[in-house]
Amino acid sequence: MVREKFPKFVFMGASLLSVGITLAILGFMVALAYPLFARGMFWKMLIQPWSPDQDLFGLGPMIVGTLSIASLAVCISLPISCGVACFVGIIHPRGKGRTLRQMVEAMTAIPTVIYGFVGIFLLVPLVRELFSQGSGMCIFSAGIMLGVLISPTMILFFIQSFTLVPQPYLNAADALGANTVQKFFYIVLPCAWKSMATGLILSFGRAMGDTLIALMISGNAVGFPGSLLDSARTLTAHIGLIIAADFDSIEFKTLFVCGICLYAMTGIGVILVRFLAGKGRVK
Amino acid sequence: MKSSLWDKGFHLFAWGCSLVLVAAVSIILGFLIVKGYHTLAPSLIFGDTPFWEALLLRRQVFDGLFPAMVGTLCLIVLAIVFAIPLGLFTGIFLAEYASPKVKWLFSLVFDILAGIPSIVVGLFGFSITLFLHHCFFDRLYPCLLISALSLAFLVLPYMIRTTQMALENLPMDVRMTAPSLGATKFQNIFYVLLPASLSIIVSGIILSIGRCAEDTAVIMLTGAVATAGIPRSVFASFEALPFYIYYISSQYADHSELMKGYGACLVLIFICMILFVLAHWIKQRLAQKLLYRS
Amino acid sequence: MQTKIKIKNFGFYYNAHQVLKNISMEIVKNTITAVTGPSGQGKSTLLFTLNRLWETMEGARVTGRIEILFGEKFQNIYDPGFRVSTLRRRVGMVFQMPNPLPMSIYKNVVFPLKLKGADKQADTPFRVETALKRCFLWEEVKDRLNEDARTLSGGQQQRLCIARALILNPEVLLLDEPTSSLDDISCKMIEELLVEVKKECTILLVSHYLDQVKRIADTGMRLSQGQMIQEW
Repeated sequence: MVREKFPKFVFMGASLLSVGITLAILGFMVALAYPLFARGMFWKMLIQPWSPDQDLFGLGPMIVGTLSIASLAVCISLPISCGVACFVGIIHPRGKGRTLRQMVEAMTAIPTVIYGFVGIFLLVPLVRELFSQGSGMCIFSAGIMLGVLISPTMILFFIQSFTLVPQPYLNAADALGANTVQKFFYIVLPCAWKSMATGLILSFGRAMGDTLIALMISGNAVGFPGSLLDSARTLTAHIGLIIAADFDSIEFKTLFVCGICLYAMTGIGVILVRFLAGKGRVK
Repeated sequence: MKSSLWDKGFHLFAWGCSLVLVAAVSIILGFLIVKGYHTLAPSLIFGDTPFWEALLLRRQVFDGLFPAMVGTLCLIVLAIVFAIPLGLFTGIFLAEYASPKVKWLFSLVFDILAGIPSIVVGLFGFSITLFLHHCFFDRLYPCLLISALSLAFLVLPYMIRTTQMALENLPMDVRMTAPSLGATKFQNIFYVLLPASLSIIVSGIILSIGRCAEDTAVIMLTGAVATAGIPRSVFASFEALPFYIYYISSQYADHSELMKGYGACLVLIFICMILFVLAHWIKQRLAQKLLYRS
Repeated sequence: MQTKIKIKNFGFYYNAHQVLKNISMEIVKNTITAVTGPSGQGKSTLLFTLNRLWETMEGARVTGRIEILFGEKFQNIYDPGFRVSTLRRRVGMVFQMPNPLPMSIYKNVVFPLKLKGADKQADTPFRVETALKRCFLWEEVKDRLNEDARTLSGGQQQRLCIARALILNPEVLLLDEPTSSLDDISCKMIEELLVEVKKECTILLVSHYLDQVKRIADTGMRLSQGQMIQEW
């Protein structure tokens, strides 16, 4: 009996360690940001602007920056991903679709830093020329590159969602003479929308959590951005920039508040996804 | 009439989106190739040092990508050494031993771990370093070991999920064969279930390797620097390819350095693509071998 | 006419549904008992209750008692102190679809010994040969013991699975429609070998084929709507 219990304890121990690490990540953030909690600054920080000279260490601009860049990226990526997913999943499942799908899968292997690099040397000058305003390092540029980054994952997710539609439904639609667009809107979409929404939420989370594209292309200005062509800073880029500051300063401690915000955003995303999945469990 | 117009529009839309995507990727890759292909030579990697001496670590390479590539390699090896056993065992626990409630709860936690931005994981690694530095080890600074550990945390949820899915998707008759012959749960896992899931697990490992090779945010905060040479020990700073690219993009001193940056991009993409193709190939080949039935 | 297995007031529940209702029966030693009946009404489940393989499925539970004669005493196989892996070495099972493991023919047959840690002993090759001979498979595979088991034909694979189940000399053998995926000739071979094997073993056979049942079974039972009726 002991010999049978031993493997179980080893495996359980490993799991507990993994869970522990996840919780420790949050724990460390909270512990290190504690001085700010103690002074009651935490909630105010989320909306205040960042102006160290005025003793304001708010993360408001960074939150706005993160949300705007991520939203733009998703707005760009969503229609394109839908289109490509329809192409691969519905219109041309064999032949052309297969090749395209393999290309999309290969795209997931391209590192973020590459997108950032090409962004700086190709996209940013282009945007600068096109709009003859600003330096080209702005929400718009970052949003485009980020959109391309998250598209492959969204596409693959959507394609997988389409396969959830039971074949008998598709057969019925075909037999009744439905054309492609009718099949998509009347049969595929109602079955797959929940799974697609999950993919959307996960991609949005990915966009919010990206560091390098924001760091390299969005300009990193600390003011509240006013338009798409304004430079902005994200929570993630903020961490990357302030890490070099003095350990004991308040600036440094704001990094952990950033970390908590990002962790909380992830948590909300995961719970939303679970909620969506759970609603479908009526069967 | 009207419906066929919608149908044509739909087809057009799908085609259009696909062309946009293909164009975007082609432009990105094409741009790098056009700008960087002429740097592709051994001197890109080894600088002025003859490559034998560099490989045998007899002489330092100052101008080339070699130290960064070695740094990336060391990172990958260390990170994987930590991540594989932990991820594998956790995945086995979730698939085979956990009760439904525990499984639900732990899966939630690991979904969160999977979603945490990489820079937060890097921040965690940095905080641990701070904490250890202040409390125990005066001489501990961000280094290879901390980076590798942090990368291990980054790829851990992926390893867990891959193992768990692979085991759970085995068909019932494969799962029941060994128990019917008197195997204990552990014997079943060790002799039948794991070998049957091997192809998926191995391809998951390779994709994790790819993730370690390409990550910048984590290593940026935990020990990667612009010039450090070959890492002398696990407690030393190190160079890494993705960090080099990031550093060059903002700190390039002259045209030739920028060109090296393009070359580095090409090398990094090449490495990541090789890993990707390898993972894909292994999944196909091994899966075929194991699924073969007469 | 000694009894080998006693099933007393046994019920099987899968989620809320009751699959087996208050089954009581006795199975005689060294006989072939055939269980027939409509599909999906619990015949395979009945077999799983005898080697406790249902415990790998979620949502299942049982009531009642099953005792098997091991040695001189009847042993309650659901006793918490009785190890499941020991039970399964003494009560062997053959499934409807042949399920050779992805290994060589030799390794497949030796696998149960390996689980016991007894696969590297001096008499192991002899035991393998004996098991394969009992299943009329030895002549066909003796020159290719190291080939992958999945290269065998369906009938050969099933005989291999029976040899694998027999290598530990189980006292009870459970077979779930063992010939339903096989051709006539393989079918006949397996029926022949079962008649031989029953001399040392008590056999419980689920079958759809009434002519097969009439050919080889000593007792016939019919399982319908969770209830067991003895036919002859």
